Amino acid sequence: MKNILIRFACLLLTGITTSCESILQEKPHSLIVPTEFFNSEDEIRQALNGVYSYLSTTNLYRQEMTNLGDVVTDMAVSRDDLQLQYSYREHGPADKDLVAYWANLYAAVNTANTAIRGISSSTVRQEIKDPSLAEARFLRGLYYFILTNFWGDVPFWDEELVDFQVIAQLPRTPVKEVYAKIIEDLIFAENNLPVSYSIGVKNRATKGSAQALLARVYLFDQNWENAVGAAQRLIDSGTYQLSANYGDVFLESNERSNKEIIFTTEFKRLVLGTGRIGQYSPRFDREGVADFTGWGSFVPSKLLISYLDDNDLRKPQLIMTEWKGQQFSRTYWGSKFHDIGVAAGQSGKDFIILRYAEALLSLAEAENELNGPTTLAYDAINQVRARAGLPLLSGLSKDTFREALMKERGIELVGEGFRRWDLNRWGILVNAVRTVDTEDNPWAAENVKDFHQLCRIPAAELLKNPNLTQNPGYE
Amino acid sequence: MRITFQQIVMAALFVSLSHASDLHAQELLNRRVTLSVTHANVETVLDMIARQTHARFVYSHEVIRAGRPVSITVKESRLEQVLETLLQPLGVNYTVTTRGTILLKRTSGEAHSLEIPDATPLVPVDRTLTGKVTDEKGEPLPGVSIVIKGTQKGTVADFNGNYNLQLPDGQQIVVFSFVGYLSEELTLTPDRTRLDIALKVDEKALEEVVVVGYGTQKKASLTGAVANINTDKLPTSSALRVDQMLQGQASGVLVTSSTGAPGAAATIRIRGNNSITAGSEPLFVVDGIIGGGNLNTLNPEDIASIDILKDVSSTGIYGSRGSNGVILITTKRGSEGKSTVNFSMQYGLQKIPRLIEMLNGMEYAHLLNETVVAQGRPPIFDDPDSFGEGTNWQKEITRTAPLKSANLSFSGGNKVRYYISGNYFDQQGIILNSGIKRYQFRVNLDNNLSDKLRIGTSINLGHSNTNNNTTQLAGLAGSALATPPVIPVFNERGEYAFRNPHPDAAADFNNPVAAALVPTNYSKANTLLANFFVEYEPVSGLKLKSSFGTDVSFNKSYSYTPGSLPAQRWAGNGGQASLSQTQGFTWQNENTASYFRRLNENHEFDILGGVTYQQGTSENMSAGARNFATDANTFHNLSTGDPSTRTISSAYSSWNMLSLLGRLNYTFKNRYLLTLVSRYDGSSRLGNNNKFAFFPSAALAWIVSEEDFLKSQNLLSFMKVRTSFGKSGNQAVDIYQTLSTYATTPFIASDNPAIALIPSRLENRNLRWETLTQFDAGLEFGILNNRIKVEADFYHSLTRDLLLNAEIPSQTGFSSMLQNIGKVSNTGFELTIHTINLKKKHFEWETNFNIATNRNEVIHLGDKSEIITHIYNYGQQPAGILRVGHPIGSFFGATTEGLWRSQEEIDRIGTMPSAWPGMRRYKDLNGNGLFEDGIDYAILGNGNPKFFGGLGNTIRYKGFDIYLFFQGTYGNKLFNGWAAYNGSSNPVANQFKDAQDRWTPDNPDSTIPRAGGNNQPEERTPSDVWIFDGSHLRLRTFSLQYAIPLKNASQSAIKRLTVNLTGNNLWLLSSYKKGYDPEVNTFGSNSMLRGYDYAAYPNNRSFTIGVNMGL
Repeated sequence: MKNILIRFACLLLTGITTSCESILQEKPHSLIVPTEFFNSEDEIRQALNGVYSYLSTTNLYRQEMTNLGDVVTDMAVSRDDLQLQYSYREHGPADKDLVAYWANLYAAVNTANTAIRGISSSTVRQEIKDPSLAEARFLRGLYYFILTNFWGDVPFWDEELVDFQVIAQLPRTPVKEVYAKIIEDLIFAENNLPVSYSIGVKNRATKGSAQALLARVYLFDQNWENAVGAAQRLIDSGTYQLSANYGDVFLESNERSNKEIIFTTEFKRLVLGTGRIGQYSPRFDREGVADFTGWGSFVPSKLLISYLDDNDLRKPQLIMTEWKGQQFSRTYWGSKFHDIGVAAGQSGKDFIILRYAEALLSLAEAENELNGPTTLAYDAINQVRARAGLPLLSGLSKDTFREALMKERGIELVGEGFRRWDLNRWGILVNAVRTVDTEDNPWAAENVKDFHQLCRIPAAELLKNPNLTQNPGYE
Repeated sequence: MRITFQQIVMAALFVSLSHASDLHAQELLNRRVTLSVTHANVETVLDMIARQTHARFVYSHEVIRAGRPVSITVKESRLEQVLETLLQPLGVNYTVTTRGTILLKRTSGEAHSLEIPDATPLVPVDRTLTGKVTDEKGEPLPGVSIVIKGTQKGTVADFNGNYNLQLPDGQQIVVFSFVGYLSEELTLTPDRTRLDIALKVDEKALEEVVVVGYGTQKKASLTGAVANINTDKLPTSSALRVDQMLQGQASGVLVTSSTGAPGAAATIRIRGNNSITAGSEPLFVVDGIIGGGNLNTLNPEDIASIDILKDVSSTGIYGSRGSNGVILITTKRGSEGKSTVNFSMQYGLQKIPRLIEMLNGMEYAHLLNETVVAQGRPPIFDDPDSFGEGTNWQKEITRTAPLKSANLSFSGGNKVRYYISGNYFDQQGIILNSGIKRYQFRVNLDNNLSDKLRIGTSINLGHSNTNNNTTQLAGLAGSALATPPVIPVFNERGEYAFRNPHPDAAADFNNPVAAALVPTNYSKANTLLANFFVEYEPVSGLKLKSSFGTDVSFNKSYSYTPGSLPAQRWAGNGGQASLSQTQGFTWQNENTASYFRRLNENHEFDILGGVTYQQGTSENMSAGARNFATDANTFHNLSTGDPSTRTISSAYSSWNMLSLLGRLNYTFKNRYLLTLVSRYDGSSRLGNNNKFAFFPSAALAWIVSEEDFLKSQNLLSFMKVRTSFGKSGNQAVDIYQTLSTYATTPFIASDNPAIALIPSRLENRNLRWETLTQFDAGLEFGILNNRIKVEADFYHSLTRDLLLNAEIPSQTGFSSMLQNIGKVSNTGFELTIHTINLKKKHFEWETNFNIATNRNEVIHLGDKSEIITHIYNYGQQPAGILRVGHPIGSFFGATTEGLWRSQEEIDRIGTMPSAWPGMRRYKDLNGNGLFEDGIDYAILGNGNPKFFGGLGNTIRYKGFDIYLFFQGTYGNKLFNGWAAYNGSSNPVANQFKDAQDRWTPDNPDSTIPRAGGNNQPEERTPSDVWIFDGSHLRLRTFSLQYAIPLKNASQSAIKRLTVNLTGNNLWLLSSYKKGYDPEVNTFGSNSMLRGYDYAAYPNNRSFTIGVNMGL
């Protein structure tokens, strides 16, 4: 009866005989609805930019990533008034920050899934579709990889799942299975991404990006053979090479032409500046050096300083004790982290997420684990050491090679956001943090426990999804 | 020039009027009728006669008791004769109007017999009787019929109530009759030639009619709770906007001005807050246009009546938009036969009623010295006494502001009736450089194309220009209350002075006077509100009506902050400009059919059905730029701003609604009433799974006084009990809220900003209306011939499916989602009493009193038990909360126990170990031994009054009218949002005068913190110290009006002349001294944030003189 009445009313008022629902459909001209998007290459580009955009958010590489990735480890510690926060009372920052990291990473996953779904059903040509899907899947793999490093087993869902009620109730998926999915995405990406884009585009995933990330993931998965394979493919492609000089890699002027850089996320001064540089630069309020307006939130550990003998060419890039003749009250980071004269939160320096030196070290490590210190392994690590002006390694046992490699990764890759993950996979986080001097942090060495390898699952998420379980030690 | 233009319009109208020919009464009465009916009711017989003769009968069913059975047989008889035969035995009289309508009414006075003449006898003319007919107030009554008794001989009074009647020789009886008035029969002596007469209103026949949705209804037979505001009784210039006219006038309708700024909207709550996030403002229906109109471009003087639908059986006809109550505004229309021109002018002066007492220059200087010395720094001023009074910034930014208004209206007509008006209104604000101007023009027309077909239109064109206030009253830097009195307005170089002497104060802020005078900030609104209708009545009682209405608006805002403004200059910023414009277009088509039928004495039906469609679109665009090299172009040349600072945005939205509506009113035996109402609404805003919703309601009433057992007494003149139950809704879902959407996010690609899209909202196809279910029970009675009328209502409502942002697991990619989860209830009681205290010939005194109470309670918040609704912006601590079991909009904060009197006390109690003597002592509420900021907080009251109401007195003495109107609230609390910095004893801002009584070791019992406790978080803790009692009683309006007696008024150009003197807001009883006015709502219509005072623009006190002329 109601329907007849409505149909009658519709007919009377609008002359539409089909369905009233149709005249009550919303037509949002000033909004973009994902289900009606992805109709052209440009639309796909904008949606993919959205998937990339999470990399440059504050909770990832714009600022906070290094807090959890490098602080507090054997290489980097927090400044004195932040020490309590970074002293393993909690794991890293407080719970409210973890909520934000968790939410941000899953927002990224959702954005990737929405894009993959949209691109898959798009009518654009297959030549556009495949590389676009590959970019989205590369990023989804990266985001899940970061999630597993923070929390271990995490809820996993991909574009196949559309019902948010189901997604909301998903339990945690074992990290091994998540790795399998990540690897699946990255292999697709490797097979479908272009070798390069136009000159200077470093913030879009390439075949090399997929290979470099794949090498890292296999390494973390202790799948040595595939790690060697992925790294080898990257090296053999000849697309990338070590920069002659360590410092050149991190110069803003070089960041789009340097052949060592594989994948970055871009920042631009005053438009989308990064606060990471501010966190690593000398404290303006304490040191009063006009060239630096930083907060000095994080500083090199005493261990790192002791590692850097005067022969190491990386020393001025990594640490600094004075500026233009003015002595600092303590040791700060060197030029790798500088952006002279720029306000603390406004640096335009890109964040290098993947670079060639890491791939070499990954190859060396995987090869050593697989076959012992072979020529291949020595050659890879020695390329990095040679550039640093250090003596080449030789004649090591498998174990001593591993130790040298751990130290080399610590120095070479410090502040790039994954030292703690390395320590975790080697199972030496607790021992490494116990090397932290009490002057660097009075509590960390004492507080750190095995369970700190993983972060606390945010309490609010456990309440909202009863199928989630807490990581051990945080219950 | 304006008048000339209107004269042209008038002339054009009169030309068209002259074509309307009058039907000659006698011709009508000569028409022939053939009839043979037995035992049919009077109404049916009249219908049959009407069909044969094309006569039109107008009568009240009750008055002539049209359900009575009659029998009549006539053949080819003259209508006149038939009417006499039919009506005379029934005790019913008739008169024929100039337009050929036959008015039927009960024969007045004692029964008398009319002779039935066979033919009209020729009466020899002997003399002429002249005179004037007026109502009891002396207003002329045009159209009164004057008939020589026993004949058909008579005349009709002209527009001015004057008449000439030729009387035959000898003593005659003359009958004066007019619809709605008691007929008068007077026996005239043979020598009488002059007779002026005042007709009395027939209280019974003149039944109060109220406008209900899609129709009108007699007040006596209403089954719902409807408040009618008779705007005639309100003095002009007592309210500048329509919403202000409602204040205190109707029980259960709480009107609060949010700020005193000219043109600012008041917030209205009818029967409490029914929603949390979706808005609780009532629906306005202006001349049938739903949600139409900008109240700033509507002229209060055009309004004929305001009807407020309160219970669900009356709001239910508006379905999904009715749950917050409905305000129906009906504008004046021309009425037949009466041609009037009305001109009025007002001039007023407004001022700030009082200033908040702050420290003067000398007192402030001493406090600042004491503060820095306590902090171990050298004193700032060598000679604090030299500052004397210093600068009173409140005085500097306020002024006595003029108010001007002029109004001209024409109304009248015959077949075409018109009401045309124009209005100019100019209100300057009491703060420098603020105010509003309005220009408005209205045309309302009605035309009877035939007896069955009527067309009409209402058109309102308006323009308003609001000059927005740009200075702040309170705030930490640059506001009138914070700026230290030791700073002069101008420094010795003649520039605006600005530097705060406190060493910890922010360096750059605006001098309040500069902030008021230097920027340019205004907004213009242009509106067209128009409605056209055609009504066809194919058979008596059946009306088909179709209307087409539109609401068009074009609003634009202009803002320029010059580089010369101190804060801009010292920050090295150039000028900053922005422009934004919004265009709105809404149209609606409504088609209704109504049928009225009285079957017999016992059954009466009034049925309404309709279909409506409404569509609205809104477009906006804004642009801005900064760092203008020159201030010369302001916002008129945005392209000269720094290219890198340009901003631009635009948006578009549209919505539509399709509805079916129906209403049945059934009356049994004139005393048992039933109303069934339903509306079926479909809306584009809702999710695909819930596009349509059904809102039914039912009401019953019993007019007890119609029962025989109450007819024999004289005390109770009227009594009705009524009850209603049903549902209405709140159109809560914002446009496009159910769709998943992409939003842009910052992203850099190849060194340039690029568009990047990320999902910003989860699709929710299940979103529904918020639904209110309400029960209402009412009692109305009148005693002593309705000298005392009382109306009382009890109601209880429950709103379900309230929209709240529910938290969802973040693993979905979203942290929250809008869902229908909340519940809230309102329970209340309303009482209205109207009394005629005195009614003498020259002295009348009437009183209207209303009071209401409402209890609001949050019942359910989904999976949460509380939600923080407000973070105090100074201290970044929670200051407002929604908590289950408490009303919406509860204040939240710490509980104080005075100050810490000594270090010994701090050490002994130990709840605030780092406190110092003279600091506020907050209670450790959770008993864990420590006061924790943000945690040891409790609910500190809310902004909803326990009782509120109004009391109006109208006194008429000869030509004088006095109107006294009081309005007040009791039991509401206020959160004073600036007391934290003006009452902390921290001289970074100037302090309240009571800082003079601050804590010192010699004054340990003080409750005012000591100097020197600089900038600690505890100064900014929201606490009960900042909660004040908002109860108040206000003499809202005092008005004195005098009608100047005019000789020969009917001949002179000026027919009527009154002068008036009105005072608004003359007296206020309130304990709230740390704010300007207890009636304040800084957050406007937001239900969660009521009673917050963040130094809103103060309400003014005004005196207005005016003159009102009838031409």
